[in-house]
Amino acid sequence: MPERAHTTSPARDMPRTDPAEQVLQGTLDLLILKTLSLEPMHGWGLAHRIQQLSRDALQVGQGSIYPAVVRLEQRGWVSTHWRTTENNRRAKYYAITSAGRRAMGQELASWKRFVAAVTLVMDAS
Amino acid sequence: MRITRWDRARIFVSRIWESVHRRRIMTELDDELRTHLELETAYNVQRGMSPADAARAAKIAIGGVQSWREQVGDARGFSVVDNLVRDIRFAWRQLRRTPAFTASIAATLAIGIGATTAVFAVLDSVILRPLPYPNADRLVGVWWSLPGMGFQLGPQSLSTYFAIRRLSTSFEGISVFDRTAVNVASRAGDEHAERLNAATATASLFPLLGARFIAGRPFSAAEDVPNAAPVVVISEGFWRRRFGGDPNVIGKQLIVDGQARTIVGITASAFHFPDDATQLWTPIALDSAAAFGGPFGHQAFARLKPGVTVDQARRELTRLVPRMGELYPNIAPSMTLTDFLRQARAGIVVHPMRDDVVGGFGNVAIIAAAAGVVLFAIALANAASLLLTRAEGRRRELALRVVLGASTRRVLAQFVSESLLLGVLGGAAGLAIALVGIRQLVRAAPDGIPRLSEIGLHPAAVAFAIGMTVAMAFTCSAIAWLRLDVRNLGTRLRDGTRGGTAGRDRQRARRTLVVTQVAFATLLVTGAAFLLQNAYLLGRADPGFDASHTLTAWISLPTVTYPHDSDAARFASRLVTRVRQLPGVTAAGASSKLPMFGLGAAYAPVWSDADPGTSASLPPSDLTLTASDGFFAALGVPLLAGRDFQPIGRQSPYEAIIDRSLARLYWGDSTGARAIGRRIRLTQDPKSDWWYTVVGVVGSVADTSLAGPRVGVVYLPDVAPADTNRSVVMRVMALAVRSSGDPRALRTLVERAIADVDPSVPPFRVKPMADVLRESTARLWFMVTILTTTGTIALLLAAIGLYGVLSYLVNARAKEMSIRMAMGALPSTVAAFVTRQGVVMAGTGVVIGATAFLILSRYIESIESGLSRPAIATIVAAPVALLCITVLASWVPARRAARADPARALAAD
Repeated sequence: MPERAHTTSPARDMPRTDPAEQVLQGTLDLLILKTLSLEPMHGWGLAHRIQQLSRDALQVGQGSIYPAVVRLEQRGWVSTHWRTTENNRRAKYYAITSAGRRAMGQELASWKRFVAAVTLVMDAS
Repeated sequence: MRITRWDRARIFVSRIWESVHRRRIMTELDDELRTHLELETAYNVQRGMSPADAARAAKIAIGGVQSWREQVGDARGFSVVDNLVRDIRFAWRQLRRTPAFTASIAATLAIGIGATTAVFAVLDSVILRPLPYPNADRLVGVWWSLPGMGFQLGPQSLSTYFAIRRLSTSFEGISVFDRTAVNVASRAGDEHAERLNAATATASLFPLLGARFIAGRPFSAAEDVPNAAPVVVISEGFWRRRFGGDPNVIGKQLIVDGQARTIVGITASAFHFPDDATQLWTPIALDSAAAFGGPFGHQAFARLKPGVTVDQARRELTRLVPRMGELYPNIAPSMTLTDFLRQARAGIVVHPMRDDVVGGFGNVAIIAAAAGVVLFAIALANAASLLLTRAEGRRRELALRVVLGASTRRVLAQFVSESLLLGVLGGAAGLAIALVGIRQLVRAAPDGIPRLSEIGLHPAAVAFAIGMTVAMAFTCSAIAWLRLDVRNLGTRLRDGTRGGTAGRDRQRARRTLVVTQVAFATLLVTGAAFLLQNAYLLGRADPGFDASHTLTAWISLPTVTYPHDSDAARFASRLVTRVRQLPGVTAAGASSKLPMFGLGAAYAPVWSDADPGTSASLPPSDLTLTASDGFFAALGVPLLAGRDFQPIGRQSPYEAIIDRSLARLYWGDSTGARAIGRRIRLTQDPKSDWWYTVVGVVGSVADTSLAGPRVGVVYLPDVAPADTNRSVVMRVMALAVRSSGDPRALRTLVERAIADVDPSVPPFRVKPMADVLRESTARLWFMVTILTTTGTIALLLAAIGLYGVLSYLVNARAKEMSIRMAMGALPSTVAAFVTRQGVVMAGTGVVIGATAFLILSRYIESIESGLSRPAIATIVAAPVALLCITVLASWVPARRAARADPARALAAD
């Protein structure tokens, strides 16, 4: 993911982003997949859970998950369906697909390698 | 995240789907965002905020609803669609601003796409599409090559068919069939007897071809043996026409050639075999126990077992040849199969059945396809040239846009959408042209075009047209794009190159396109002239007979009503006598065959009395026909020496008439005088006493085609010796009637005369011999038509292209020319300068095109036999004509240049 970020065509899928934002976006994608792998949930629940999980360290607007899940959906990693919430409201629910789980596994592994590499560099200096 | 190619494809597809459902998706998103805000507000209220504060905080937390809406829209790919729609609208406005240009380029594309698609559709329908049988790729024709007898492709005999059926393991099954024509009546003495194309075939034919039946069944193997109860299978078309679709027709009787046959099945209308015209099938009923293997006269096809290749089957059969002779030793009383195969230097031929069906039409299709491709190339060059000219005119507009910040991607997108729009206009018109063109092609098609009923605009051809349209649009915009060098447009603008002269290499590009067009047009026009030359020569060739005043008709006598030779001879005698009494008739006779038509052709080796008959190899085969007295006079074949046959009934069975080429071959005398009184025989056995004495020698006749070598012909009398069981008397006979006036006027009288003799035998192919002769060159004329049509269109396009480029040149260099004229150059000098430009371009193209033709003409000669070499006049005439036309095309812009007012041109900028 992060080490691949510069190889994907920037103009194609993300016309207005610089590399820093791409890293952020990749991280967000991974967080969404990770969160959805626990249970399917709707957009608001997803935004809150991510804020909780990152202990509010990731200061992204709650709306930023919406373009992100669209991209995940187009790749076939996330599926959607409309359902009624526990307090009787219709909401769109997101669930991870098996392809999504596979992608998450791969990305998680390379993310961990990246973190390890960063740690190594940090410790060495 | 990692995005693979597969992901990209998925994203692309889902974007298209989403764009279609755009409105619903955006409404859903609004719902979702609203729910989000409500949930967040409720959450905030729960944590103790006032409802107003809670709502505000929710909006802050989500961070700008409108911005997320747009970002989701981008992710869905809606912006791409928006841009596309905008570009197409823009392109449409641009095109509408210059209707003349738009029309000319769309017309060019339409002609190019239309003509090429029409040709491709025919090629696709006839040659590329599989034959209309299940697993047609496994169907093969099984033939002999008999070079020793002068045949490239010889059919099977009874013995070889049974031998292959018994010995070979390559095939799921094998079938033999004969094409024939029969007289069909509903009951005996029926006045509505009609003549139909039919086939006799083995019972294996229907299962091998996977024939579908709408009622009944195919005839069975038990019905396909000698002396079985007679049955017939009919086609759906015949059933509807003759029986009005009567559902109870199965089991009813049909009188076929005088014999009552039980209808056992009706084939579905989609089933055609061996050709579209065949409407009846009867069992061939070959006798596997026959003492002699019979003549080589049955066409065979087989179905390969799955996994067996054509080559493997051929090798297997070749290995089996020696054993065939062991199984079926004798094919005739005096000839063993082994001897025959050795003398004929026989070899096995196995090839895809498509070759048998398509036959010689493949050549026509190849030439038509080549013409289509060339025409397409010309149209492409023309369209590219026009677009290039147009793009140059818009240089400043484009440059300005680039300078003002438009991305090159967007400018290119506009370019492509404009070309695509033109392509769609041209392509749609082209498809319409193709539809009309196909209908015209089919109408102009000569007799015997295979699979005519299948010709149409099939999906492959439509896909071809669409593919061509897209390819054309992209090629055109790519050429213009590359030549314009759009990336550097901005810099160029700063250099101050306003309406001045265009760059040298851009002009070269346009000139190259014009030269290419002229070269291709020359190729087509010269090719058309070449074929026209051949058609003209054939039209003047002497066929060896005088067709001008002769009417011909065919009659077939059923063996059931004419069981004995004497019955048939009596019919012929009465008919000829009766016809001779008709007013205006100067001569009449009958024969088993007419020139230029295949029915009745029989070839046999002929030995002369000069031949001891001991040679191991067969003499060359000659066409052996029967003829009555008066036939030569009626057909206008000159009698060179000796006399005609005696009237039927008084003729001796031991006399023959030969043609001049045989007199020369056997006795070295082309006058024929020395051949009179000499003897020939049709069997090798010198002890045989069945000799024919030559009583007359006639001129050589072109039998199969006007071009190509002529075969020797032996004419035998229409009577058999009483002591033989050999039947030579015609059951299928051709009548030739010479009239002092127009032979067409005789038609009704001759038909009535035939009906007077026997109303149950309907005449067929009643037509003047001149028409028969014309039909024999129909295929060549068809090719001439295709090439002249495409050549004319090509010429027109090339002239338009040249005119366009020269006009542009005159406009672009108006300033320079004005200066020259202001400095004292004569208008004629300026006109000559422009014309010279045109002549140089056209001349280069003509030379290239003519050279290409000379190289290709060898190929045309190799695929279409009997063509004469291109005459010098042909090679020169077409290019000279082309050059004249191009000079005319450059004359208009040249005059415009000469007449330009220097003061105005200089003041224009």
